[in-house]
Amino acid sequence: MNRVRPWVPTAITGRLQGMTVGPAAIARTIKEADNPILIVGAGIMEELEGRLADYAVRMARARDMPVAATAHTISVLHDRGIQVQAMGLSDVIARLQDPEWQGLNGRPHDVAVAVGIRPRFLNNMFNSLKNFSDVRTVSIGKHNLPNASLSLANLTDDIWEENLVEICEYLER
Amino acid sequence: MSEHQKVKIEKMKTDVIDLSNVIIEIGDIEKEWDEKVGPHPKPSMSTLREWDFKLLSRHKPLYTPVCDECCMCAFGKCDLTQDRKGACGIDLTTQQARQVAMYAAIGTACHAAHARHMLHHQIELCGRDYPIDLGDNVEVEAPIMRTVVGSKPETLGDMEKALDYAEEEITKVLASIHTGQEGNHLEYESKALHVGMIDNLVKEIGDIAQVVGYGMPKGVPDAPLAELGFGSLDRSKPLILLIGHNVAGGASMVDYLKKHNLEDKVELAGICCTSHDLTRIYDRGKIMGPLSRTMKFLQAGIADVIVVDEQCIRTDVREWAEKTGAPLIASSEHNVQGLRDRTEDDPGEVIADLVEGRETGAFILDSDKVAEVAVQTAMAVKPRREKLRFLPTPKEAQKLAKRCTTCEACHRVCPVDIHISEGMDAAKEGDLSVLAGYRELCVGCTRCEEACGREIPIIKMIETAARDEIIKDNYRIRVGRGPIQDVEIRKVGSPIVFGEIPGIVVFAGCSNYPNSTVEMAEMAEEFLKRNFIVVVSGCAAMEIARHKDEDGKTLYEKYPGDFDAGGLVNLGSCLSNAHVLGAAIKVANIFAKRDLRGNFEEIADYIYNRVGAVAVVWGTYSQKALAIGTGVNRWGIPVILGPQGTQYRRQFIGRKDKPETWAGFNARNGEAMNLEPVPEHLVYTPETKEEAMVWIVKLCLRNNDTPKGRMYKLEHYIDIHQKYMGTFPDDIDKYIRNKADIPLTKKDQIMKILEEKGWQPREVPDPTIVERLTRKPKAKEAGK
Ligand code: SF4
Ligand code: SF4
Ligand code: SF4
Repeated sequence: MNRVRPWVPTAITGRLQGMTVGPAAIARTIKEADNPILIVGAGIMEELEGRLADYAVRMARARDMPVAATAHTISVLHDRGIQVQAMGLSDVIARLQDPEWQGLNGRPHDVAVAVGIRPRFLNNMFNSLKNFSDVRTVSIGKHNLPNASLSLANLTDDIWEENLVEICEYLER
Repeated sequence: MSEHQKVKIEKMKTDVIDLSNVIIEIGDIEKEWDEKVGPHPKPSMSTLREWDFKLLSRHKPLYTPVCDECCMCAFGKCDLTQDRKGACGIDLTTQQARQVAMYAAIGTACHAAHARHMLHHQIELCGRDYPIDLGDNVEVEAPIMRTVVGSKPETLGDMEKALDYAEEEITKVLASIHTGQEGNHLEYESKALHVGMIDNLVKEIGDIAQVVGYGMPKGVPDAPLAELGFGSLDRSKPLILLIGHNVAGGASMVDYLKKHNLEDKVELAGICCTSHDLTRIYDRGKIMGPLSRTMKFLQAGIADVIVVDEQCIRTDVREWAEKTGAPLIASSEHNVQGLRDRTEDDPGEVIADLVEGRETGAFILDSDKVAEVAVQTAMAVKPRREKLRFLPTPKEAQKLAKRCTTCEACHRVCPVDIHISEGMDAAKEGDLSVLAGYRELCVGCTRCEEACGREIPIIKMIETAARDEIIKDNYRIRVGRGPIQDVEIRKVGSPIVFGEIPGIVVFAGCSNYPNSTVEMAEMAEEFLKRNFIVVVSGCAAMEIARHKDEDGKTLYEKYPGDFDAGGLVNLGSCLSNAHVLGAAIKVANIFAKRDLRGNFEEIADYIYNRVGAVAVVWGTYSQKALAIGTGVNRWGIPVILGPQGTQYRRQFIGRKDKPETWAGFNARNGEAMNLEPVPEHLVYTPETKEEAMVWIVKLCLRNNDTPKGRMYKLEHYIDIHQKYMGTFPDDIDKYIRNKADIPLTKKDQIMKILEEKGWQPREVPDPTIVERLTRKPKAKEAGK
């Protein structure tokens, strides 16, 4: 396991930490998942001058992933011509822990991919899934989160964007 | 409603006894109160657990552990990750609930100790028989105490027994947290709810004691405006800075200043709730700001004397007082700061020691002595402190910025995610504007300074950069008014219950926000314009005051202080926020004629199903804020936490997609039925203020809304959803029971959605979730 210090130094909550990986491993996990869900947070509107929303849409389309639009992201995603489900982050996380939940597309989700959510908030929410569900979690934010099963390292915007492009291209293949 | 009686027998002789000059003291004679006693007077820790379990089956806990381990006993640390158990058998879910109960108990204990001190103090000043008179317009003086304890206080002394009860319950909850007790998370959640309810009670007692004892405003809607902010100070005068929550010392200072004709000579200002309470008793008292401003004022060394009491004070206050040469007086046993106890010493000696620098501070438990020492010391040290400067000059700030290596250590620890190194980069070039822009974002936690390996005084540099703005910081806030009047409840009871007033929004809590503090003022104004009743207290009330419109007016200057549609009601300090729950209880009592006495379950059921109130704790920080929120949850009032609220570890999330989780009854005929999924959540943490605003409206929906009320509420829901989400809500069909609920302006669009979703009209029940509160038909009752 590649050890990287989490972006928030106190974010490690216990013994079990996820892996820090590169874009290829993330893309492969999303591609090979049985039924991944993409959770999109408010950060997509500001990060990378709004281009993060474009990458999120590209990934959702390439992998045919249902999208939970959290916070007030729904119209930003609609504007990009993609059908999404508006749903608060806590609502999504609570449902993902419910073995009876039939997901956004009628089937349970095995992998939750998140982007555009503040690192502290997402790390806490992913810890809920880490401890209380079988769902694997993937963060494609630019900050390393120890409670995501897979997370990128701490990246500058330029390198992060290169990573996002790589993930999109892999999924589009 | 109990009273002490003393009987003196001067001479009594019978065959059996022979007494002379004997005083017999009879404690606690119950005074008459013609309301019948309900089923649950003084509920014990487990009395209301069935009620709690009903709430918890509708709004299931969602846990977000901040730590996957436990180190609470010497067996530990134990790894509780996933399905592992600790050496005592506890699992991670139960441990989360246990921690929530523990933190809620700590918060409640704080308010209870404060209330106990205040009640003691007022009994000392005014006597045990001093009447509880909250003015002609407040007859239901203590709605929480009437409901929970089942007693109706007439004098200060009558409240002592209620505090005894509260303290016993806090002890029980704390005991249950010991290793080797509950093995079920719901049991701990019930205990958290219980101790939260006790928090409501003790706050009410504490505030009533200070309102009647100090003669604070008694539910006056047009309470005066007070000044807030650094710019409100006359810097030529000595400044005494009060920090904390207990205004006993501040009140004695006011008396001292008045008695010695020094009101014109000394500035008395406060940080946090003690300043709210100061302005409730002293029209010249100033509010410096909420907790998040503490470190900025401490580092800038503005105070000539600092007086700390209790709760939410920087624990390193002594260090900063010493660094800036300001004598420190600790006035509460809760926060002594390692200072020498001078309570019994002659004030003159203490003053001399502080002024001449032989000691840097004093611990004084006598509030009159605190007053004398603070005032005299401030006046004596002011001339020599006048020339001291603690903030760097702009030139010095530029030089300091050059130390920055842009390592980002500060950014990583900043709870509000400020990219400090960008400000440092600009400052290196002599441009301080980027740093100045951080002022409204920074919550003064000092984490960045602790992390910085280059010892850069980041907060001071931000203050220097924003110095021109700081001097202009002068705002108006309406003074805390305390209780809501019965006459106001008579007026708004019907429109609240029937939904024509779309809701009561309460902004409370601390001051560590995810974004600029302006967010709370923006949210408050959105709902004022929509004719909600907006109620505020504590640090939230202060932050809302810190924003002016283009005409230079704060919301307090633009909106009336009435508890009515479009009113902005500042209750006062943390203690005072009990009165908003009191108002909800009074709606059940005064408007709906429900008995209060020992009748918690019925009143909570009433509020949960009928009173559209929601609390917003946008800044989540203290254990007290957790206790406050958990307390109102037990009465069925939902709470929205700011994005850092996940650090409290637990939300209560409902599932509108699972109708079977909303089981209840139609009280008209006792029929069991699934009620509507409203209010959907009891604790919810949105990501952004836009999302929060949508939730505020939605969490005001209640099962009992009349068609007209539901129509108004849905109109706001659709409108605010379109405004902030940019779309029509996709769940509108869940909240339309029949066509009369449909907002007229959106009828066509809604009808189309209803058709697409195969919507069918539904019965509107008389809702309850407590079976015994139903009126079963006679035939059914007789088992026919
Ligand atoms: S209280 Fe239980 S889980 Fe916690 S350290 Fe002790 S044995 Fe371990
Ligand atoms: S003091 Fe201000 S800038 Fe520093 S970490 Fe705290 S909030 Fe961030
Ligand atoms: S921690 Fe200090 S040196 Fe590092 S970026 Fe922040 S201010 Fe600069």
